Amino acid sequence: MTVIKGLARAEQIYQDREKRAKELKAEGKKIAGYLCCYPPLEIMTSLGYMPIRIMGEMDEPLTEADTYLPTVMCAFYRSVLDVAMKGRYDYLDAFIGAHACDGAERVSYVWRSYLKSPCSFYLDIPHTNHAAAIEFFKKQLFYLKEELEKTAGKKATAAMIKEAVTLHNKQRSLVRQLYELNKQDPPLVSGSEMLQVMIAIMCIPPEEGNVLLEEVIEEVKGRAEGPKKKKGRILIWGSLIDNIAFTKLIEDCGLNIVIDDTAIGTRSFWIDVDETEDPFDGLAIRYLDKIVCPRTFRDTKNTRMEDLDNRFSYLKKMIKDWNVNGVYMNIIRNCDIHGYEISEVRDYFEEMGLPVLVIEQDYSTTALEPLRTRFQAFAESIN
Amino acid sequence: MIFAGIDIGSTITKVVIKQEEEIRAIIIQPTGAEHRRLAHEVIKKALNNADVTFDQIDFIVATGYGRINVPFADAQVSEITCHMRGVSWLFPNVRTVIDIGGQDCKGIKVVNGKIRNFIMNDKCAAGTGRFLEVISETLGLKLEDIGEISLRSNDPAGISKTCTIFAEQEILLRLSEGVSIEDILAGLHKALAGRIYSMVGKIKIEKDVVITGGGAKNIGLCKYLEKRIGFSMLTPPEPLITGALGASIIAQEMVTKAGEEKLAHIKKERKLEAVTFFDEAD
Amino acid sequence: MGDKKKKKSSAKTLQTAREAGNFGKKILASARTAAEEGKPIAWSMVDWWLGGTIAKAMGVELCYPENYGAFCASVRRAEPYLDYAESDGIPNTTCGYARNCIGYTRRLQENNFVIPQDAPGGGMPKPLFLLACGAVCDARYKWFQSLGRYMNVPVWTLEFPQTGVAEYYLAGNKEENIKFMVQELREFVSFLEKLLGKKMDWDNLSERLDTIFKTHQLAHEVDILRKSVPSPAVNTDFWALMIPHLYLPDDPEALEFYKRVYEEVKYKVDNKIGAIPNEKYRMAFSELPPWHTLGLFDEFAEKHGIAFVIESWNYHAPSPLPESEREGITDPLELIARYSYHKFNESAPTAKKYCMDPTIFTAPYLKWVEEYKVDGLFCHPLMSCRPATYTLMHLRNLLMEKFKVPSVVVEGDIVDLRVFNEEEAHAKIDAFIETMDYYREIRRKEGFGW
Repeated sequence: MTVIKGLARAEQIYQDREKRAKELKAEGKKIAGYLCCYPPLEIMTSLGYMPIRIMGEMDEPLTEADTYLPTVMCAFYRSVLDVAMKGRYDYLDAFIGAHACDGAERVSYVWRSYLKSPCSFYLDIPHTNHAAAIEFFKKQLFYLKEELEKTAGKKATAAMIKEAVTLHNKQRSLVRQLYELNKQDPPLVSGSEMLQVMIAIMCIPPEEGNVLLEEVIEEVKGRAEGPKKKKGRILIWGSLIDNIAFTKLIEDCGLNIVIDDTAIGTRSFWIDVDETEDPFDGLAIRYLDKIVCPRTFRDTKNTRMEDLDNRFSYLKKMIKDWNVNGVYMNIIRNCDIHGYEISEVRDYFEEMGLPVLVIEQDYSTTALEPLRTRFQAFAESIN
Repeated sequence: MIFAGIDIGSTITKVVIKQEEEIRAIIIQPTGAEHRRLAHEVIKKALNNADVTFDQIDFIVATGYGRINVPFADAQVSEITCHMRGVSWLFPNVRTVIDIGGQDCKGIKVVNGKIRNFIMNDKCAAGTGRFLEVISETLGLKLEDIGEISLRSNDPAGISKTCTIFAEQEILLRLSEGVSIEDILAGLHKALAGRIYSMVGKIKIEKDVVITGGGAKNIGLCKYLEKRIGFSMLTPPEPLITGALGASIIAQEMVTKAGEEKLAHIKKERKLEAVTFFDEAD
Repeated sequence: MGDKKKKKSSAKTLQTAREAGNFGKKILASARTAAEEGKPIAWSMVDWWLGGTIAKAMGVELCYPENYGAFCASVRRAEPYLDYAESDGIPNTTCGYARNCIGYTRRLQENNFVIPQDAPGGGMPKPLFLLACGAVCDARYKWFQSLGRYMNVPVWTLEFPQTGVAEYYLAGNKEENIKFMVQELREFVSFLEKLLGKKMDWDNLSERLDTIFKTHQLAHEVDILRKSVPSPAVNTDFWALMIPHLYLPDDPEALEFYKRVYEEVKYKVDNKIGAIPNEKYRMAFSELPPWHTLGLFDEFAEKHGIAFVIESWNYHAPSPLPESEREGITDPLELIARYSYHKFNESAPTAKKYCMDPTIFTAPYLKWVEEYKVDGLFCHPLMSCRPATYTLMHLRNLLMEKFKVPSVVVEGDIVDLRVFNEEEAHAKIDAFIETMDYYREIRRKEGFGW
């Protein structure tokens, strides 16, 4: 029997995202589903929970969501609740909602009102990175740990959490290594492959994810048939893409996706957790302050330029290091936190001389085809 | 050398046949449901008008939303790039193109004949030619007349809706209140101009502004749009063909870039009889 | 033709409600006067008395862009600002108040920060800083941050934790929330002291707090009086009356005004005078109103005898802070934190009772339908305001499941009248009357009290 490894394995997991979780559950392992990139994985892992990222489904027509959520809200979170109400996440032992944004917050509330998991926790997340906010967030993480402990049947010691930090930091380091390979031209990993790997490692235990990442890195380093050289080397900015139909459409139009600043991508993995004496310090700082997402307000600086750099200079570095020549700003319709940022980020990229394409999309694969012309024209406009 | 550009839009198909700097033929006709069948017919008609044979055409570029369904085209280029090229050829100083088509509305920012930025709406009929079509149907008027009529108003009615369905209802309401057709049309054109302005404004409207597409033929819309923008716009002699014209220019550029001897490599196997999918369609 | 035109604004049923609009004008006028005198001005979000009171105690005059958006909409002057914001890249799905403000600020900047002559209501002067708030809605800090494109003024974001129902009851968590709020308020005081170059006037703050509690006590008593049948006041009265208690409760004039409101409402209750002449149906409204078309509710009253007896949870003054929470607290910042947190979480026991989340925007209505004998809920999902819309469908499910109270959904917007369809609203309400009759019968059979 041949063992499926590397990219093929990632694709397999991507196609059937809950499969591994359900297998492990059958073996007695507990599964914790969480929203967005803010609930610390280390706490779940240390208590023997396998963390799985809750996602929507672009291919699935919304049939249940309208009963619970109005049409004007975030298309992604509508889909999340839609598939959840259809039973996709019924097997979860713990549901961890989060105040990542209004959409995540309110969906957490509505979810909990109808779907009752043995353990259910709503993680409040402050809006600023002030010292008091980090302290408060740390306390909330402590409550999360205590709630999970009730159903885990064990207590998480500092040593156990530190061990989980090391494990997840290793994953982060491997993800960064993989992205590094896209600095070359053509990149070694296509945007669609990268997305499959990112989703895969969010749906299997971190140990297995690390093995998968190592396999993928080895595989793509040695392969001849990687992505072709294309005119565009683009960065995707925005909340998230979780379906390769989207990345394939983009890459069909003469663009290579070489790097991203999205929540199912670098935002979830870019920064390590510091190995602090009290592990909750490292966790609170990393998850509240170091993850860069427009949902966290950063105090205004003295000048406009300082303020923009304080918020966006990491993008400048990504553009330079990955030799990016175009930016696609992906806005899921009705996303407030990214919506207000459009003009600011667009101008910031344009100041760097980069062509920028902004699309507000509806999080539905059936609505993708009309976007082809825009990506094509965008590719034609890149020099 | 002779080049052809074919633009299969959502409602109208256009063909331009061009020889060096001279336009040999222009065809404009409604798009049918079966693009390929139509594509064959229109190109035949255009060849006839230009008095050339299919083999004499050196390169064909297809554009428009039906572009992938043109089996005898040598290359496909997006309509955004084609419009920009067509307009730049006609107006070398153009900075902003506003294209109001049947199903969508585009704004293109041009710097030195290159696309700097663009924006497009296709979410709903608001802000497109379809909006005006529905309105003229509701009022029982001809589409080509409504712009003219709207200019007779001294007191545009307050129309707040640009959603096509809501606007229809609002028109009926205004009619029942006894508001005149001129004033209603003026209000509608004003509302539509506002909608287009705020969309295209995202790419910053700068002089020279050229308006193309079916919307350019509506004098009322142009007037209200100019009022919002604050200066006048330029209109091509035939605003519908800038996409096809651009496609024919790009065809020429592709050949120049490749060199004539390499042309054979670029050119795909294509023959006129290749368009025998009449059987296939039947 | 003119006489055929429908009236868009509401006539209101209370004399005091008709006068309340003056407070809105007063806010803008005082800010402009202060600006002329060189005094500090800030633009502030509604923050449920958390930070605004502190700023005022430091001598800062506040104007409220959310209120300004509602005002521009009510005089139907918002569209040009919405357009102008959208043309700078702000999606047309973002908050109507925000787009109104962003468009306005863009104009202000282009006019070198001299208020344009044609600004509705005389306009808002350029602020020294922007006071954002994290409560309820992401837009309310992202929008102020995005104004950085037009003016270089600092933004302060007030933290306002949002607690889940189960988490509210976790041992010690409520105190953690309060502690966090107090720490952040202290930070805000430092920010102000540095910016203004002067010290906090603590006595002034305590005085203001005292006035707030008194004004709100009256506002809350008015809310209780509204439980009477027939209802002495309706939603359109409340949406006018709320201006003094939401924005100026620390103003002695507002307190005096509320004494008169109380008298007027009390008189009507004592004499069984209904707000509308022939009250047949009692409805609740959630959540934010169509400011541009408030006259609609007068039409519903006239046509069907519908009295909107309770509405807009977020605009209401809370019940007084329990003695147990006030006892021994000398730090005014802690008192403020406790009070604002109380506003948001006072319905937690109701939420717990019905095993649901969230407390905000939802649980209060579960109490209200019984107390106010509500026959139906008017849900107003907003095209541009998600936070006040997210839980509406959830709320309508709960009201049906727990109380057999039906609801009608009419989509619209707070500011953007381009997306509101009056005719559709009428058609839906016409049909909803029968639904309310039907469920009245069901409730009677099932032994509900109304």
